Amino acid sequence: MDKPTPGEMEVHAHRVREHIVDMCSGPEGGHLGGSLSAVEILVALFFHTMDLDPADPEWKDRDAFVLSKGHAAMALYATLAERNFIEAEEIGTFCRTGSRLATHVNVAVPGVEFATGSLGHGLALANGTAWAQRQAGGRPARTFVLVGDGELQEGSVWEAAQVGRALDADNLVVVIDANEFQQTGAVRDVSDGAPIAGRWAGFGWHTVEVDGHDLAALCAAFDEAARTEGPTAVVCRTQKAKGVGVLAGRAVSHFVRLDEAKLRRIRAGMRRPVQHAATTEETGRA
Amino acid sequence: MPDIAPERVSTRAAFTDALPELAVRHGVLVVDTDTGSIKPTPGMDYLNVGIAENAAIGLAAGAERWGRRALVCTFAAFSVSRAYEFIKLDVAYPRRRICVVGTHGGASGGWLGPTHHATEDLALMNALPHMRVVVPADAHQAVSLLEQCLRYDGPTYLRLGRKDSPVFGGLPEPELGIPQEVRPGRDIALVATGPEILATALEVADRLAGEGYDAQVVNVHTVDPESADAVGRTLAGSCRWLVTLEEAWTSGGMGAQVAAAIGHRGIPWLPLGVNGFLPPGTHASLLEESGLTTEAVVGRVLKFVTASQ
Repeated sequence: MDKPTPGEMEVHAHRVREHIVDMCSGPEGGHLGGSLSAVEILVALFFHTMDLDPADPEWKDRDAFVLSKGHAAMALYATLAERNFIEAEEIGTFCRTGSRLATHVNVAVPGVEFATGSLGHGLALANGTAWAQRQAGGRPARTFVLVGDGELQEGSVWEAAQVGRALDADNLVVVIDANEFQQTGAVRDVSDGAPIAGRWAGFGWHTVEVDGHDLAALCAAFDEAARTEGPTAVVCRTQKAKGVGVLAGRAVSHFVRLDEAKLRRIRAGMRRPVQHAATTEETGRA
Repeated sequence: MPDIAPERVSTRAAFTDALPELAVRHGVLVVDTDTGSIKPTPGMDYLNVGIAENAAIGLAAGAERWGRRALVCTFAAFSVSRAYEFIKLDVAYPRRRICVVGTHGGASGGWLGPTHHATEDLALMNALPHMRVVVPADAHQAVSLLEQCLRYDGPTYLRLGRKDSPVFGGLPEPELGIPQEVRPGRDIALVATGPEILATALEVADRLAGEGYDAQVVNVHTVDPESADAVGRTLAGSCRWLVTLEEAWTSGGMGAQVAAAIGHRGIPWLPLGVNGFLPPGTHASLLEESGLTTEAVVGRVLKFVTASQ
Protein backbone atom coordinates (compact mmCIF):
# COMPACT_ATOMS: atom_id res chain seq x y z
CA MET A 1 0.00 0.00 0.00
CA ASP A 2 1.29 3.46 -0.86
CA LYS A 3 1.58 5.76 2.14
CA PRO A 4 -1.56 7.88 2.33
CA THR A 5 -1.36 11.65 2.34
CA PRO A 6 -2.16 13.54 5.56
CA GLY A 7 -5.46 14.57 4.01
CA GLU A 8 -6.38 11.01 3.17
CA MET A 9 -5.57 9.91 6.71
CA GLU A 10 -7.86 12.62 8.08
CA VAL A 11 -10.64 11.22 5.94
CA HIS A 12 -9.98 7.75 7.31
CA ALA A 13 -10.05 9.12 10.86
CA HIS A 14 -13.36 10.82 10.22
CA ARG A 15 -14.93 7.65 8.85
CA VAL A 16 -13.60 5.63 11.78
CA ARG A 17 -15.23 8.14 14.15
CA GLU A 18 -18.53 7.86 12.30
CA HIS A 19 -18.42 4.06 12.57
CA ILE A 20 -17.71 4.28 16.32
CA VAL A 21 -20.60 6.63 16.97
CA ASP A 22 -22.90 4.44 14.89
CA MET A 23 -21.94 1.36 16.92
CA CYS A 24 -22.95 3.16 20.13
CA SER A 25 -26.50 3.33 18.78
CA GLY A 26 -26.72 -0.47 18.76
CA PRO A 27 -28.57 -2.54 21.35
CA GLU A 28 -25.73 -2.54 23.89
CA GLY A 29 -24.05 0.83 23.49
CA GLY A 30 -20.29 0.93 23.70
CA HIS A 31 -17.09 2.36 25.13
CA LEU A 32 -17.34 5.62 23.23
CA GLY A 33 -14.82 7.88 24.97
CA GLY A 34 -11.85 5.53 24.99
CA SER A 35 -12.51 4.50 21.40
CA LEU A 36 -12.67 8.04 20.06
CA SER A 37 -9.50 9.08 21.88
CA ALA A 38 -7.56 6.35 20.04
CA VAL A 39 -8.75 7.05 16.49
CA GLU A 40 -5.73 8.96 15.14
CA ILE A 41 -3.35 6.49 16.85
CA LEU A 42 -5.00 3.59 15.04
CA VAL A 43 -5.20 5.39 11.70
CA ALA A 44 -1.51 6.34 11.86
CA LEU A 45 -0.55 2.75 12.70
CA PHE A 46 -2.83 0.97 10.22
CA PHE A 47 -2.41 3.38 7.29
CA HIS A 48 1.12 4.72 7.70
CA THR A 49 3.31 2.68 10.01
CA MET A 50 2.43 -1.01 10.08
CA ASP A 51 3.17 -3.52 7.36
CA LEU A 52 -0.07 -5.52 6.95
CA ASP A 53 -1.97 -7.39 4.29
CA PRO A 54 -5.76 -7.19 4.62
CA ALA A 55 -6.06 -10.02 2.06
CA ASP A 56 -3.90 -12.24 4.28
CA PRO A 57 -4.41 -11.24 7.93
CA GLU A 58 -2.14 -14.12 9.08
CA TRP A 59 0.77 -13.11 6.79
CA LYS A 60 3.74 -14.36 8.80
CA ASP A 61 5.94 -11.28 8.36
CA ARG A 62 3.23 -8.82 9.40
CA ASP A 63 3.62 -6.23 12.12
CA ALA A 64 1.61 -6.98 15.24
CA PHE A 65 -1.00 -4.76 16.81
CA VAL A 66 -2.10 -5.62 20.34
CA LEU A 67 -5.09 -3.72 21.68
CA SER A 68 -4.36 -4.00 25.38
CA LYS A 69 -7.19 -1.60 26.20
CA GLY A 70 -9.59 -4.14 24.73
CA HIS A 71 -12.64 -2.02 25.53
CA ALA A 72 -11.63 0.24 22.63
CA ALA A 73 -12.81 -2.58 20.38
CA MET A 74 -15.08 -0.26 18.38
CA ALA A 75 -12.06 1.81 17.34
CA LEU A 76 -10.24 -1.30 16.15
CA TYR A 77 -13.27 -2.76 14.32
CA ALA A 78 -13.85 0.58 12.61
CA THR A 79 -10.20 0.84 11.59
CA LEU A 80 -10.22 -2.74 10.31
CA ALA A 81 -13.30 -1.92 8.23
CA GLU A 82 -11.67 1.23 6.86
CA ARG A 83 -8.49 -0.75 6.06
CA ASN A 84 -10.55 -3.46 4.30
CA PHE A 85 -9.95 -6.30 6.77
CA ILE A 86 -13.74 -6.56 7.19
CA GLU A 87 -16.68 -5.19 5.24
CA ALA A 88 -17.94 -1.79 6.34
CA GLU A 89 -21.47 -3.26 6.44
CA GLU A 90 -20.43 -5.53 9.31
CA ILE A 91 -20.11 -2.48 11.58
CA GLY A 92 -23.91 -2.41 11.74
CA THR A 93 -23.95 -5.82 13.42
CA PHE A 94 -22.08 -4.63 16.54
CA CYS A 95 -23.35 -6.58 19.56
CA ARG A 96 -26.31 -8.00 17.63
CA THR A 97 -27.15 -11.70 17.70
CA GLY A 98 -24.70 -13.71 15.62
CA SER A 99 -22.20 -10.86 15.22
CA ARG A 100 -18.43 -11.25 15.60
CA LEU A 101 -18.21 -7.69 16.87
CA ALA A 102 -18.36 -7.86 20.67
CA THR A 103 -17.87 -5.15 23.28
CA HIS A 104 -14.32 -6.34 23.91
CA VAL A 105 -12.19 -7.40 20.95
CA ASN A 106 -12.98 -10.80 19.54
CA VAL A 107 -10.30 -12.90 17.83
CA ALA A 108 -12.89 -14.16 15.37
CA VAL A 109 -12.46 -10.82 13.59
CA PRO A 110 -9.67 -10.78 10.96
CA GLY A 111 -6.89 -8.48 12.10
CA VAL A 112 -7.55 -9.00 15.82
CA GLU A 113 -4.55 -10.83 17.26
CA PHE A 114 -5.63 -11.40 20.87
CA ALA A 115 -8.85 -11.45 22.90
CA THR A 116 -8.26 -8.64 25.36
CA GLY A 117 -10.46 -6.68 27.70
CA SER A 118 -9.02 -7.74 31.01
CA LEU A 119 -6.56 -4.89 31.39
CA GLY A 120 -2.83 -5.37 31.85
CA HIS A 121 -2.32 -8.33 29.50
CA GLY A 122 -1.28 -6.66 26.26
CA LEU A 123 2.31 -5.72 26.99
CA ALA A 124 3.14 -9.20 28.28
CA LEU A 125 1.70 -10.67 25.07
CA ALA A 126 3.56 -8.08 23.01
CA ASN A 127 6.86 -9.10 24.58
CA GLY A 128 6.20 -12.54 23.10
CA THR A 129 5.20 -11.43 19.62
CA ALA A 130 8.14 -9.02 19.43
CA TRP A 131 10.53 -11.76 20.56
CA ALA A 132 9.16 -14.20 17.96
CA GLN A 133 9.43 -11.53 15.25
CA ARG A 134 13.09 -10.95 16.13
CA GLN A 135 13.79 -14.68 15.76
CA ALA A 136 12.76 -14.51 12.11
CA GLY A 137 16.07 -12.79 11.30
CA GLY A 138 16.73 -9.81 9.07
CA ARG A 139 14.98 -6.58 9.89
CA PRO A 140 12.29 -7.83 12.22
CA ALA A 141 8.63 -7.02 11.99
CA ARG A 142 7.40 -4.68 14.74
CA THR A 143 4.89 -4.96 17.55
CA PHE A 144 2.70 -2.07 18.68
CA VAL A 145 0.64 -2.36 21.85
CA LEU A 146 -1.98 0.23 22.81
CA VAL A 147 -2.62 0.75 26.52
CA GLY A 148 -4.76 3.28 28.35
CA ASP A 149 -3.53 5.67 31.03
CA GLY A 150 -5.99 4.18 33.51
CA GLU A 151 -4.68 0.76 32.58
CA LEU A 152 -1.25 1.79 33.88
CA GLN A 153 -2.70 1.14 37.35
CA GLU A 154 -2.43 -2.60 36.62
CA GLY A 155 0.81 -3.95 38.08
CA SER A 156 1.23 -6.48 35.29
CA VAL A 157 1.91 -3.59 32.87
CA TRP A 158 5.05 -2.71 34.80
CA GLU A 159 6.09 -6.34 35.22
CA ALA A 160 6.00 -6.65 31.45
CA ALA A 161 7.69 -3.26 30.98
CA GLN A 162 10.68 -4.50 32.94
CA VAL A 163 10.80 -7.67 30.83
CA GLY A 164 10.60 -5.63 27.60
CA ARG A 165 13.62 -3.66 28.63
CA ALA A 166 15.54 -6.76 29.74
CA LEU A 167 14.92 -8.32 26.33
CA ASP A 168 16.22 -5.19 24.50
CA ALA A 169 13.07 -5.29 22.42
CA ASP A 170 14.06 -2.87 19.64
CA ASN A 171 10.96 -3.73 17.64
CA LEU A 172 8.48 -3.13 20.48
CA VAL A 173 6.48 0.08 20.88
CA VAL A 174 3.99 0.73 23.65
CA VAL A 175 1.51 3.45 22.77
CA ILE A 176 -0.23 5.10 25.72
CA ASP A 177 -3.62 6.66 25.00
CA ALA A 178 -3.47 9.28 27.77
CA ASN A 179 -7.03 10.56 27.63
CA GLU A 180 -6.91 11.36 31.37
CA PHE A 181 -10.09 9.53 32.31
CA GLN A 182 -11.14 6.10 33.50
CA GLN A 183 -14.59 4.69 34.25
CA THR A 184 -15.39 6.65 37.39
CA GLY A 185 -13.45 9.87 36.90
CA ALA A 186 -10.14 11.53 36.18
CA VAL A 187 -7.12 9.24 36.38
CA ARG A 188 -5.30 11.82 38.51
CA ASP A 189 -8.12 11.73 41.08
CA VAL A 190 -8.44 7.93 41.22
CA SER A 191 -4.75 7.02 41.32
CA ASP A 192 -2.42 9.52 39.73
CA GLY A 193 0.08 7.93 37.35
CA ALA A 194 1.97 11.11 36.41
CA PRO A 195 4.51 11.64 35.05
CA ILE A 196 3.71 8.91 32.52
CA ALA A 197 6.72 9.47 30.26
CA GLY A 198 8.99 9.75 33.29
CA ARG A 199 7.86 6.39 34.58
CA TRP A 200 8.57 4.67 31.25
CA ALA A 201 11.93 6.42 31.07
CA GLY A 202 12.64 5.16 34.57
CA PHE A 203 12.00 1.64 33.34
CA GLY A 204 14.67 2.18 30.69
CA TRP A 205 12.38 2.80 27.72
CA HIS A 206 13.01 5.43 25.09
CA THR A 207 10.09 7.83 25.41
CA VAL A 208 8.35 10.26 23.07
CA GLU A 209 5.41 12.52 23.91
CA VAL A 210 3.04 13.65 21.17
CA ASP A 211 -0.36 15.17 20.57
CA GLY A 212 -2.30 11.95 20.07
CA HIS A 213 -4.68 13.56 17.58
CA ASP A 214 -1.89 14.95 15.34
CA LEU A 215 -1.50 12.35 12.61
CA ALA A 216 1.81 13.72 11.34
CA ALA A 217 3.28 13.80 14.85
CA LEU A 218 2.11 10.23 15.52
CA CYS A 219 3.63 8.96 12.26
CA ALA A 220 6.90 10.73 13.08
CA ALA A 221 6.97 9.24 16.58
CA PHE A 222 6.44 5.69 15.28
CA ASP A 223 9.17 6.30 12.67
CA GLU A 224 11.49 7.56 15.40
CA ALA A 225 10.86 4.42 17.44
CA ALA A 226 12.09 2.34 14.50
CA ARG A 227 15.43 4.16 14.59
CA THR A 228 15.88 3.83 18.35
CA GLU A 229 17.59 1.05 20.29
CA GLY A 230 15.51 -0.77 22.88
CA PRO A 231 11.74 -0.50 23.35
CA THR A 232 9.96 2.82 22.89
CA ALA A 233 6.99 4.30 24.74
CA VAL A 234 4.95 6.85 22.81
CA VAL A 235 2.83 8.86 25.23
CA CYS A 236 -0.13 10.26 23.31
CA ARG A 237 -1.92 13.22 24.86
CA THR A 238 -5.53 12.65 23.82
CA GLN A 239 -9.04 13.75 24.66
CA LYS A 240 -11.66 11.25 25.77
CA ALA A 241 -14.56 11.17 23.25
CA LYS A 242 -12.57 13.43 20.90
CA GLY A 243 -14.75 14.78 18.11
CA VAL A 244 -18.10 14.54 19.89
CA GLY A 245 -18.50 18.01 21.36
CA VAL A 246 -21.08 17.35 24.04
CA LEU A 247 -19.20 14.37 25.52
CA ALA A 248 -15.57 15.23 24.76
CA GLY A 249 -13.25 15.36 27.75
CA ARG A 250 -15.82 13.93 30.14
CA ALA A 251 -15.74 10.68 32.16
CA VAL A 252 -19.42 10.15 31.37
CA SER A 253 -18.41 9.28 27.80
CA HIS A 254 -16.76 6.06 29.02
CA PHE A 255 -19.73 3.87 28.08
CA VAL A 256 -22.61 5.32 26.12
CA ARG A 257 -25.74 4.14 24.37
CA LEU A 258 -27.11 6.61 21.86
CA ASP A 259 -30.77 6.68 20.89
CA GLU A 260 -31.75 7.72 17.37
CA ALA A 261 -32.18 11.39 18.24
CA LYS A 262 -28.83 11.63 19.99
CA LEU A 263 -27.11 9.80 17.19
CA ARG A 264 -28.52 12.23 14.63
CA ARG A 265 -27.46 15.24 16.68
CA ILE A 266 -23.95 13.90 17.20
CA ARG A 267 -23.48 12.88 13.57
CA ALA A 268 -24.68 16.32 12.44
CA GLY A 269 -22.19 18.02 14.73
CA MET A 270 -19.14 16.02 13.64
CA ARG A 271 -16.80 18.25 11.65
CA ARG A 272 -15.84 16.73 8.32
CA PRO A 273 -12.30 17.13 7.06
CA VAL A 274 -11.92 19.57 4.18
CA GLN A 275 -10.85 16.89 1.73
CA HIS A 276 -13.84 14.71 2.51
CA ALA A 277 -16.20 16.07 -0.12
CA ALA A 278 -13.65 15.73 -2.92
CA THR A 279 -12.56 12.17 -2.04
CA THR A 280 -14.07 9.29 -3.92
CA GLU A 281 -15.04 6.06 -2.20
CA GLU A 282 -12.10 4.24 -3.83
CA THR A 283 -9.33 6.65 -2.88
CA GLY A 284 -10.79 7.17 0.58
CA ARG A 285 -10.65 3.51 1.39
CA ALA A 286 -7.01 3.15 0.27
CA MET B 1 2.77 -56.05 38.55
CA PRO B 2 4.66 -52.79 39.23
CA ASP B 3 6.57 -52.53 42.48
CA ILE B 4 8.21 -49.75 44.43
CA ALA B 5 11.88 -49.60 43.40
CA PRO B 6 14.60 -49.25 46.02
CA GLU B 7 15.89 -45.94 44.62
CA ARG B 8 14.16 -42.57 44.80
CA VAL B 9 14.44 -39.90 42.07
CA SER B 10 13.00 -36.39 41.93
CA THR B 11 10.55 -35.74 39.09
CA ARG B 12 11.88 -32.17 39.02
CA ALA B 13 15.47 -33.40 38.55
CA ALA B 14 14.38 -35.72 35.76
CA PHE B 15 12.68 -32.76 34.07
CA THR B 16 15.80 -30.60 34.47
CA ASP B 17 17.96 -33.26 32.83
CA ALA B 18 15.57 -34.11 30.00
CA LEU B 19 14.29 -30.68 29.00
CA PRO B 20 17.22 -29.24 27.00
CA GLU B 21 17.29 -32.01 24.42
CA LEU B 22 13.48 -32.20 24.18
CA ALA B 23 13.08 -28.43 23.87
CA VAL B 24 15.55 -28.27 21.00
CA ARG B 25 14.08 -31.33 19.28
CA HIS B 26 10.55 -29.95 19.37
CA GLY B 27 11.44 -26.28 18.78
CA VAL B 28 10.05 -25.13 22.11
CA LEU B 29 10.74 -21.70 23.60
CA VAL B 30 11.59 -22.16 27.30
CA VAL B 31 10.47 -19.30 29.54
CA ASP B 32 11.85 -19.43 33.07
CA THR B 33 10.88 -17.43 36.14
CA ASP B 34 14.21 -17.66 37.94
CA THR B 35 13.40 -21.13 39.27
CA GLY B 36 16.85 -22.67 39.04
CA SER B 37 15.23 -25.77 37.52
CA ILE B 38 16.42 -25.14 33.96
CA LYS B 39 19.92 -25.80 32.61
CA PRO B 40 20.03 -23.83 29.35
CA THR B 41 22.19 -25.28 26.61
CA PRO B 42 23.43 -23.83 23.31
CA GLY B 43 20.74 -24.06 20.69
CA MET B 44 17.91 -23.87 23.23
CA ASP B 45 15.67 -20.79 23.06
CA TYR B 46 15.73 -19.79 26.72
CA LEU B 47 14.41 -16.62 28.36
CA ASN B 48 14.66 -16.11 32.10
CA VAL B 49 12.25 -13.21 32.58
CA GLY B 50 12.88 -13.07 36.31
CA ILE B 51 10.35 -13.31 39.11
CA ALA B 52 7.44 -12.32 36.89
CA GLU B 53 4.91 -15.11 36.38
CA ASN B 54 2.22 -13.04 34.66
CA ALA B 55 4.76 -11.61 32.23
CA ALA B 56 6.15 -15.10 31.63
CA ILE B 57 2.77 -16.59 30.72
CA GLY B 58 1.91 -13.58 28.56
CA LEU B 59 5.23 -13.71 26.73
CA ALA B 60 4.81 -17.41 26.01
CA ALA B 61 1.28 -16.78 24.72
CA GLY B 62 2.46 -13.98 22.45
CA ALA B 63 5.27 -16.11 21.03
CA GLU B 64 2.86 -19.00 20.50
CA ARG B 65 0.48 -16.70 18.61
CA TRP B 66 3.45 -16.08 16.31
CA GLY B 67 4.00 -19.79 15.76
CA ARG B 68 6.31 -20.89 18.56
CA ARG B 69 5.44 -23.66 21.02
CA ALA B 70 6.45 -22.66 24.54
CA LEU B 71 7.04 -24.03 28.02
CA VAL B 72 6.87 -21.85 31.12
CA CYS B 73 8.71 -23.09 34.21
CA THR B 74 7.51 -21.84 37.57
CA PHE B 75 6.92 -22.95 41.11
CA ALA B 76 3.42 -24.50 41.13
CA ALA B 77 2.43 -22.21 43.97
CA PHE B 78 3.11 -19.15 41.81
CA SER B 79 2.20 -20.18 38.28
CA VAL B 80 -1.27 -21.44 38.96
CA SER B 81 -2.68 -19.11 41.59
CA ARG B 82 -0.82 -15.91 40.78
CA ALA B 83 -0.94 -16.12 37.00
CA TYR B 84 -4.29 -17.91 36.84
CA GLU B 85 -6.08 -15.21 34.89
CA PHE B 86 -3.25 -15.06 32.34
CA ILE B 87 -3.40 -18.86 32.04
CA LYS B 88 -7.18 -18.74 31.68
CA LEU B 89 -7.38 -15.96 29.07
CA ASP B 90 -4.08 -16.17 27.21
CA VAL B 91 -3.42 -19.93 27.29
CA ALA B 92 -6.60 -21.97 27.89
CA TYR B 93 -9.15 -19.84 26.02
CA PRO B 94 -7.17 -19.70 22.74
CA ARG B 95 -5.94 -23.31 23.26
CA ARG B 96 -2.31 -22.35 22.92
CA ARG B 97 0.38 -24.99 22.63
CA ILE B 98 1.94 -24.04 25.92
CA CYS B 99 3.08 -26.33 28.72
CA VAL B 100 3.02 -24.71 32.15
CA VAL B 101 5.35 -26.60 34.47
CA GLY B 102 4.80 -26.28 38.21
CA THR B 103 7.57 -27.60 40.42
CA HIS B 104 7.17 -28.04 44.20
CA GLY B 105 3.66 -29.41 43.58
CA GLY B 106 1.39 -30.44 46.43
CA ALA B 107 3.07 -30.41 49.82
CA SER B 108 6.52 -31.16 48.40
CA GLY B 109 7.64 -27.64 49.27
CA GLY B 110 7.81 -28.99 52.83
CA TRP B 111 9.67 -26.66 55.16
CA LEU B 112 9.43 -23.84 52.61
CA GLY B 113 6.01 -23.45 54.20
CA PRO B 114 2.44 -22.79 53.12
CA THR B 115 3.45 -19.90 50.85
CA HIS B 116 5.25 -22.50 48.73
CA HIS B 117 2.78 -25.40 49.00
CA ALA B 118 0.51 -25.90 45.99
CA THR B 119 -2.50 -27.95 47.01
CA GLU B 120 -4.97 -25.90 44.98
CA ASP B 121 -3.32 -26.32 41.57
CA LEU B 122 -5.19 -29.42 40.41
CA ALA B 123 -8.61 -27.97 41.21
CA LEU B 124 -7.83 -24.64 39.57
CA MET B 125 -6.36 -26.17 36.43
CA ASN B 126 -9.17 -28.74 36.22
CA ALA B 127 -11.62 -25.84 36.12
CA LEU B 128 -10.17 -24.58 32.83
CA PRO B 129 -11.65 -25.90 29.57
CA HIS B 130 -9.05 -27.40 27.20
CA MET B 131 -6.37 -27.73 29.90
CA ARG B 132 -4.74 -31.15 30.27
CA VAL B 133 -3.57 -31.57 33.87
CA VAL B 134 -0.70 -34.00 34.27
CA VAL B 135 0.88 -35.46 37.41
CA PRO B 136 3.55 -38.09 36.61
CA ALA B 137 3.80 -41.05 38.97
CA ASP B 138 7.60 -41.06 38.94
CA ALA B 139 10.71 -39.62 37.31
CA HIS B 140 10.48 -41.88 34.27
CA GLN B 141 6.87 -40.91 33.65
CA ALA B 142 7.84 -37.25 34.13
CA VAL B 143 10.17 -37.35 31.13
CA SER B 144 7.75 -39.29 28.95
CA LEU B 145 4.79 -37.07 29.80
CA LEU B 146 6.91 -33.92 29.41
CA GLU B 147 7.62 -34.86 25.81
CA GLN B 148 3.93 -35.67 25.25
CA CYS B 149 2.99 -32.25 26.64
CA LEU B 150 5.49 -30.56 24.34
CA ARG B 151 3.92 -32.32 21.36
CA TYR B 152 0.30 -31.86 22.47
CA ASP B 153 -1.87 -29.64 20.31
CA GLY B 154 -3.13 -27.45 23.17
CA PRO B 155 -2.46 -26.27 26.71
CA THR B 156 -1.02 -28.56 29.37
CA TYR B 157 -0.07 -28.28 33.02
CA LEU B 158 2.71 -30.55 34.27
CA ARG B 159 2.90 -30.82 38.04
CA LEU B 160 6.25 -31.94 39.41
CA GLY B 161 7.64 -32.44 42.90
CA ARG B 162 10.74 -31.10 44.54
CA LYS B 163 12.98 -33.68 46.23
CA ASP B 164 13.50 -37.39 45.58
CA SER B 165 10.30 -39.40 45.36
CA PRO B 166 9.35 -43.05 44.75
CA VAL B 167 10.14 -44.79 41.48
CA PHE B 168 8.18 -47.79 40.22
CA GLY B 169 9.56 -50.86 38.50
CA GLY B 170 7.38 -52.35 35.78
CA LEU B 171 5.10 -49.36 35.36
CA PRO B 172 3.86 -49.26 31.75
CA GLU B 173 4.72 -46.32 29.47
CA PRO B 174 2.25 -43.53 30.19
CA GLU B 175 -0.04 -42.19 27.50
CA LEU B 176 -1.48 -38.71 28.05
CA GLY B 177 -5.11 -38.99 29.20
CA ILE B 178 -5.09 -42.76 29.70
CA PRO B 179 -5.21 -44.11 33.29
CA GLN B 180 -3.19 -47.18 34.17
CA GLU B 181 -4.34 -50.18 36.15
CA VAL B 182 -1.21 -51.10 38.06
CA ARG B 183 -2.75 -53.80 40.25
CA PRO B 184 -5.93 -55.73 39.43
CA GLY B 185 -8.57 -56.14 42.11
CA ARG B 186 -12.29 -56.77 42.49
CA ASP B 187 -13.64 -55.04 45.60
CA ILE B 188 -12.09 -51.68 46.30
CA ALA B 189 -10.65 -49.28 43.70
CA LEU B 190 -7.72 -47.24 44.99
CA VAL B 191 -7.31 -44.46 42.43
CA ALA B 192 -4.06 -42.61 43.04
CA THR B 193 -2.18 -39.59 41.68
CA GLY B 194 1.49 -38.70 42.20
CA PRO B 195 4.58 -40.65 43.34
CA GLU B 196 4.17 -40.73 47.12
CA ILE B 197 0.47 -41.37 46.84
CA LEU B 198 0.78 -44.21 44.32
CA ALA B 199 3.38 -45.86 46.56
CA THR B 200 0.98 -45.55 49.48
CA ALA B 201 -1.88 -47.00 47.44
CA LEU B 202 0.18 -50.06 46.48
CA GLU B 203 1.12 -50.66 50.13
CA VAL B 204 -2.47 -50.14 51.22
CA ALA B 205 -3.65 -52.71 48.66
CA ASP B 206 -1.24 -55.27 50.15
CA ARG B 207 -2.51 -54.54 53.65
CA LEU B 208 -6.16 -54.74 52.58
CA ALA B 209 -5.49 -58.18 51.08
CA GLY B 210 -4.61 -59.28 54.59
CA GLU B 211 -8.00 -58.00 55.73
CA GLY B 212 -9.81 -59.99 53.05
CA TYR B 213 -10.37 -57.23 50.49
CA ASP B 214 -9.14 -57.46 46.89
CA ALA B 215 -8.09 -53.90 46.01
CA GLN B 216 -7.46 -52.60 42.52
CA VAL B 217 -4.88 -49.81 42.14
CA VAL B 218 -5.16 -47.29 39.29
CA ASN B 219 -2.52 -44.69 38.50
CA VAL B 220 -4.12 -41.49 37.19
CA HIS B 221 -1.36 -39.34 35.74
CA THR B 222 -3.78 -37.15 33.76
CA VAL B 223 -6.32 -35.83 36.22
CA ASP B 224 -8.48 -33.43 34.18
CA PRO B 225 -12.21 -33.91 33.52
CA GLU B 226 -11.48 -35.00 29.95
CA SER B 227 -9.62 -38.03 31.33
CA ALA B 228 -12.10 -38.93 34.04
CA ASP B 229 -14.39 -41.03 31.82
CA ALA B 230 -11.41 -43.23 31.00
CA VAL B 231 -10.78 -43.74 34.69
CA GLY B 232 -14.36 -44.91 35.02
CA ARG B 233 -13.82 -47.44 32.24
CA THR B 234 -10.66 -48.71 33.96
CA LEU B 235 -12.41 -49.48 37.25
CA ALA B 236 -13.25 -53.13 37.81
CA GLY B 237 -16.89 -53.85 36.99
CA SER B 238 -17.25 -55.57 40.35
CA CYS B 239 -15.84 -52.58 42.25
CA ARG B 240 -17.98 -51.81 45.33
CA TRP B 241 -16.01 -48.95 46.85
CA LEU B 242 -14.07 -46.07 45.29
CA VAL B 243 -11.20 -44.44 47.16
CA THR B 244 -9.40 -41.54 45.48
CA LEU B 245 -6.03 -40.44 46.84
CA GLU B 246 -4.20 -37.27 45.90
CA GLU B 247 -1.78 -34.72 47.30
CA ALA B 248 -4.18 -31.84 46.73
CA TRP B 249 -7.26 -30.20 48.11
CA THR B 250 -10.07 -32.60 47.27
CA SER B 251 -12.45 -29.87 46.05
CA GLY B 252 -12.03 -30.03 42.29
CA GLY B 253 -8.99 -32.32 42.26
CA MET B 254 -8.59 -35.69 40.59
CA GLY B 255 -11.09 -37.48 42.81
CA ALA B 256 -13.81 -34.93 42.19
CA GLN B 257 -13.48 -35.43 38.43
CA VAL B 258 -13.60 -39.23 38.72
CA ALA B 259 -16.56 -39.13 41.08
CA ALA B 260 -18.44 -36.82 38.73
CA ALA B 261 -17.73 -39.11 35.79
CA ILE B 262 -18.94 -42.31 37.46
CA GLY B 263 -21.57 -40.90 39.81
CA HIS B 264 -24.30 -42.72 37.90
CA ARG B 265 -22.84 -46.05 39.04
CA GLY B 266 -23.69 -45.21 42.63
CA ILE B 267 -20.42 -46.52 44.07
CA PRO B 268 -19.67 -45.20 47.58
CA TRP B 269 -16.73 -42.79 47.34
CA LEU B 270 -14.07 -41.87 49.88
CA PRO B 271 -12.07 -38.83 48.79
CA LEU B 272 -8.66 -38.65 50.43
CA GLY B 273 -6.40 -35.65 49.99
CA VAL B 274 -5.11 -32.60 51.75
CA ASN B 275 -7.58 -30.68 53.83
CA GLY B 276 -6.85 -27.07 54.63
CA PHE B 277 -3.56 -25.21 54.79
CA LEU B 278 -0.54 -27.17 55.93
CA PRO B 279 2.10 -25.94 58.35
CA PRO B 280 5.82 -25.95 57.51
CA GLY B 281 7.43 -29.38 57.93
CA THR B 282 9.03 -32.23 56.05
CA HIS B 283 7.13 -33.51 53.05
CA ALA B 284 6.62 -36.83 54.84
CA SER B 285 5.32 -35.13 57.98
CA LEU B 286 2.82 -33.13 55.95
CA LEU B 287 1.49 -36.28 54.30
CA GLU B 288 1.22 -37.81 57.76
CA GLU B 289 -0.65 -34.75 59.00
CA SER B 290 -3.04 -35.17 56.07
CA GLY B 291 -3.73 -38.80 56.93
CA LEU B 292 -2.07 -40.04 53.77
CA THR B 293 0.37 -42.56 55.27
CA THR B 294 -0.20 -46.25 54.58
CA GLU B 295 -1.26 -46.90 58.17
CA ALA B 296 -3.72 -44.01 58.22
CA VAL B 297 -5.22 -44.80 54.81
CA VAL B 298 -5.75 -48.48 55.72
CA GLY B 299 -7.63 -47.38 58.82
CA ARG B 300 -9.74 -44.85 56.95
CA VAL B 301 -10.57 -47.29 54.15
CA LEU B 302 -11.59 -50.07 56.54
CA LYS B 303 -13.80 -47.68 58.47
CA PHE B 304 -15.37 -46.44 55.22
CA VAL B 305 -15.94 -49.95 53.90
CA THR B 306 -17.51 -51.07 57.17
CA ALA B 307 -19.74 -48.01 57.35
CA SER B 308 -21.01 -48.36 53.77
CA GLN B 309 -21.62 -52.11 53.69
